[in-house]
Amino acid sequence: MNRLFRLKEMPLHVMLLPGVLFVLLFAYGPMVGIVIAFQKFSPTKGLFGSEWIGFDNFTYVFGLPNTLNVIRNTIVIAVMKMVGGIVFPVMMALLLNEIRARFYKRFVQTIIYLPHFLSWVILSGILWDVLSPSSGIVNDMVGWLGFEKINFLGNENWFPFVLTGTDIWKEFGFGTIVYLAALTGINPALYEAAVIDGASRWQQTWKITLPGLAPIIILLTTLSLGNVLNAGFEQVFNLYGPVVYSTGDILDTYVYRLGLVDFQFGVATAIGLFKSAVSLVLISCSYLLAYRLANYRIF
Amino acid sequence: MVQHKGLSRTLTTVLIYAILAIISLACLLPLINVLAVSFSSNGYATAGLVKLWPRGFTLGPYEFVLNKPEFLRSMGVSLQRVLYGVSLNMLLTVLIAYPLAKEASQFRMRTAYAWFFVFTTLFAGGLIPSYILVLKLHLIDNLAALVLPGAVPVFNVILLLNFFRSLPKEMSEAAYIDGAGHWQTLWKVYIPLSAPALATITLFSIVGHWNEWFNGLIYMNTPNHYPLSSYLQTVVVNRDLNSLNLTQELQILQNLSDRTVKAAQIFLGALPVLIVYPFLQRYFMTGIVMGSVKE
Amino acid sequence: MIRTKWGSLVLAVIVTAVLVLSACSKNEGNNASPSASAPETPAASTSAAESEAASPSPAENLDPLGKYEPGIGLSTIRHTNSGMKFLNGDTIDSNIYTKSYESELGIKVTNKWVVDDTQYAQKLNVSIVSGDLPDFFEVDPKQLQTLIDGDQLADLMEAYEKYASELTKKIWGGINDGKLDTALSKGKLVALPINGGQTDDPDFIWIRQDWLDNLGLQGPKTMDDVLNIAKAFATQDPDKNNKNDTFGLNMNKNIWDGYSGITGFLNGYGAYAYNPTNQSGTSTFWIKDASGKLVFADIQPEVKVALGKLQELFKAKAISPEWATMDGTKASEFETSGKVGMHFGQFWNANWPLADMKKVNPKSEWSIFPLVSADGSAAKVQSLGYRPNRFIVVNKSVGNPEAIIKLLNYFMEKNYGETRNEDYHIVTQGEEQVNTFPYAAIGGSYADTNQNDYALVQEALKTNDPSTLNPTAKGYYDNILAYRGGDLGQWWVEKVFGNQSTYEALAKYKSDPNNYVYNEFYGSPTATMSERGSTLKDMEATVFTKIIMGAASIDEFDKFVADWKSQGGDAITQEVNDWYSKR
Repeated sequence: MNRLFRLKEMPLHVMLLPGVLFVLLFAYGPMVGIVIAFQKFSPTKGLFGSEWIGFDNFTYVFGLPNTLNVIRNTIVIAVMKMVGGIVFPVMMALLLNEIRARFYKRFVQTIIYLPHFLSWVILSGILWDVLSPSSGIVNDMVGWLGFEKINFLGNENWFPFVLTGTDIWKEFGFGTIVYLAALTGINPALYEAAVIDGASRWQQTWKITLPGLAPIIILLTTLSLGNVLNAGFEQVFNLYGPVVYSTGDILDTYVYRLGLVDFQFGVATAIGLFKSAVSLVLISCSYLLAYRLANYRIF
Repeated sequence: MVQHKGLSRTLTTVLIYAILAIISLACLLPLINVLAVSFSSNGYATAGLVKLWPRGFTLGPYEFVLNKPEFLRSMGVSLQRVLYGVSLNMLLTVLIAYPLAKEASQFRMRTAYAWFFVFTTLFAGGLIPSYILVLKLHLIDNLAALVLPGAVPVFNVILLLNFFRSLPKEMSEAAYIDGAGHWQTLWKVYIPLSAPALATITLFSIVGHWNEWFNGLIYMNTPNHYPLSSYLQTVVVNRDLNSLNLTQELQILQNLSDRTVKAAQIFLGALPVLIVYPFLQRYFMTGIVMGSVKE
Repeated sequence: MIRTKWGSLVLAVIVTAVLVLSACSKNEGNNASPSASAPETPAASTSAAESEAASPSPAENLDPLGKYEPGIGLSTIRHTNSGMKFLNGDTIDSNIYTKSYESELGIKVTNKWVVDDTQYAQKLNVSIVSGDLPDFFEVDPKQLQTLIDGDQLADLMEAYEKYASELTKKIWGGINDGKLDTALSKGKLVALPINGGQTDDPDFIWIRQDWLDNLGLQGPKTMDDVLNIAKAFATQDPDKNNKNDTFGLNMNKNIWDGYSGITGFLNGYGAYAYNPTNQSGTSTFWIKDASGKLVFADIQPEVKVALGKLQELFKAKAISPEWATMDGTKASEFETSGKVGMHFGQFWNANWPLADMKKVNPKSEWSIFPLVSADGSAAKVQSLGYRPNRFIVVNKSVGNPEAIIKLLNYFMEKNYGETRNEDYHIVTQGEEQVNTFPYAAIGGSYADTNQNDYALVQEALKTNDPSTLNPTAKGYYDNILAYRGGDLGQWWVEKVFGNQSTYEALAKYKSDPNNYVYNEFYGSPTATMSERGSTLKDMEATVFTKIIMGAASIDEFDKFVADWKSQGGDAITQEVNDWYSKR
């Protein structure tokens, strides 16, 4: 019986084989390079010939005055993005849910996904124009509202919010999809009963729609925990400058400068490894949480 | 009272429509701006006078770009990359998602396999070891270097395996009773039912390959072999004025790309994705939703 | 249960990966003709072998341009940019240089890879770290140091002394004089500097003459004049459009750029700071203090004064509030659209970004003023180009390093020697002039080529006789006449080589060597510099930017100096002075 069971599983192993081989070679293969984190890496001596220095790279990098600040920036920016990345799509889904005209609903949906498909390289150029204090349309509006114009990209206090805002702007349309779909799963009978009870639209949203969304909101929040150290390299890299390093420099940009600009591969790998380890812990926790709390298996 | 309520209801509706219109506009404006700049004459564009409508209308930038051999050549490379890359992605995604969608009771190793794949999204060897690997495999300057290393898109696998899980179990059981093996069940039952999910991840895969530029720069040895996004990167990114060595190369400086041409290239570069997108959009909802939410 | 399984799986995976990797590397050793050697792939591994095979015969032929029989192959890497033009059918891989290298010298030069300027350093870094190096290639000082540390470079000493032609030696000098001493390491000549010796790179003050005229102002004589002009441009509507929409001084976030940077402004206050934002913090500027020791230019009190003045301008709204987010290109758009009337920058600013401005806006006119000082005396100007920062290095594995010297000899001969041939320099194709000299795999020049051309052009303009001009100078001469005849597109040639031009101003700078301040440190980056440089550079860029923007008080400068010293600066200073005393 047991043998038969195994035999039955054979095709499944076979199906997985090509994928496993690719991943072994191209994902696990280069992971050998993680040893660099424990070496005084020298290009000529190579991966296995370089001098082993234990945790020196870690002590060095965490001793640098910037490192803790960079970690803090990363967490602040990533958490703000996580929160915004949940709140705004939910609000958008609620708004769209109120729309009865199907064409309009469809139209809005199509438009709001668009920014998701443009790369940050391209968007950064556009954002610079849009946010410019002298000629940008956003600051024109700030001006109309009677406020002092804001140097969004050049002000260290504003910069994390600009990162968050632009990230939300780029991704919220995409995030809306999941919530819209979850809305279709809410039992229409609930609304009918509410209307009979004389509940206003606002009350319906508050008492029926939102609670209906709660499980998925909780679920996605849990899942996003693994991203606490992912603040978005491409975006920051294309928008930041020395003037906003103090609040805008994140782990990934820091690693980039240490590694590719400065040749400090050991140090760069060490901090990359630190990041991966923290992410692994968080992902595992979120996996367990989702499983325990929502009885949901992510994968 | 009732009338009052009706009025406020209409007002709210109007307000919601208006808010959504504004939001849509905010998402659309950047593209319109790029488009307007690409059709304007350079003087207006560099002076920052072009907002939403071309000034000094001209097709010049497009003529220039389309006559540039580099642009069309790299477009060709990108198309090839998408063709091979997406095919391979899809094949492997399906083959991995199906077994992993099984319950642990049916397939005992599934959780181990799942972590095996997910682990790779957290840890990476980094640029240098990856480069050394590609070098040792003699894939440098070969399209395969842009296709093979990313052959297994783990995120797509997770989406698809969740979608597979959400399919009614009765169907695969029925197929099993009819004597179908795993391969037949996958091919005859799962694939036909998964069009929305497959369409969605195909789009992700297309967009991923189309927009990826860094590997193109690192793994390709001549600009002739760059995919479009890598080529655009060299065009769009501004050069470091510090590193210019100008004492002799006076004329060279003058020929650096101007802004309208950049905009035209950006637009043309984004165009294929913008065209593909609406066709796949209707599958989106079902695709993503079923992939990530399961009751 | 699952956990242990998983653990063993991971272990198995890692072991497999290691096996796979090592198998691959072994495979390469055994397999001489790998599958990937498609026709277009430069056969890098074979070229080294070829050159090995063709090492010079016992009876040495010391002809600087002697041909290899049989021929040898050398691989290199190249960077290009969108401004580089090619004659019909030519490419960077196949052109007049590559063809004659092969036919006349018996050296087949192949490009292992070619990349845009902007990506060269990064791609080369990857190659260096992966050990995937060509036979000879261009590096910056930091890369040079890495390669020296890794002992990867060939010693060119003997090859240079034996094979360098008279012409080459005239420009590069002997081993211990001239610029070669920047490429010496432990008694070996590890590189050939391909630039340096140039003094064309100090800043000028570029000012909109039409704005000055509109406001009835004179050109600056002192730094106070500069400040006043900047403020007037910002407040007195110099473009007469009745809108308060102009600024006085243009800057961009990379403050050490040769266009809209702050170098010239700082020079005006006797400050010589330099530490480019996009580099690794190892190209720094060192000057001698009163006691004869080298000190870091960026922490001197003069810098504080200059930053304070910039802050004053910023607070007076004479500098755009956006400057710290604009790069050079954005700043140039700001300027060519007529929003700002002054910047500090080098001679080529006429060429870019101002070249087309005259055509778009014929009323605009830029004047060039030499740098002024706070007290009105002539300012000492800073030159970085005097010290080389680009080098050609030769891979240690190359069997006949003298071949690279021959390539250099060949370039010098065809461009400056007795058999000078314009086909190797500039060729006219249809209406445009195509520079062919950048195709050369290794080149160099007399430091004062442009300056000499300027003198020739001026002479010809005076005598109306262009007959003695070399083709390059003739091109400038024709373009100046065209500009004077109404072709506004040629405005920049007038500005660079004509009357009141940048080279006229440079001639004045150059008339007295004491006008210049050079970097006194030209060794390789020191250990602490390599390690701490980028952190210190980031700190400096942040503090300077904030001070100028008024986001930090000017006294933050003192804190920066203290931090710089304590976070590695003192060690760097020590190392730099050690180098200086041993030099």
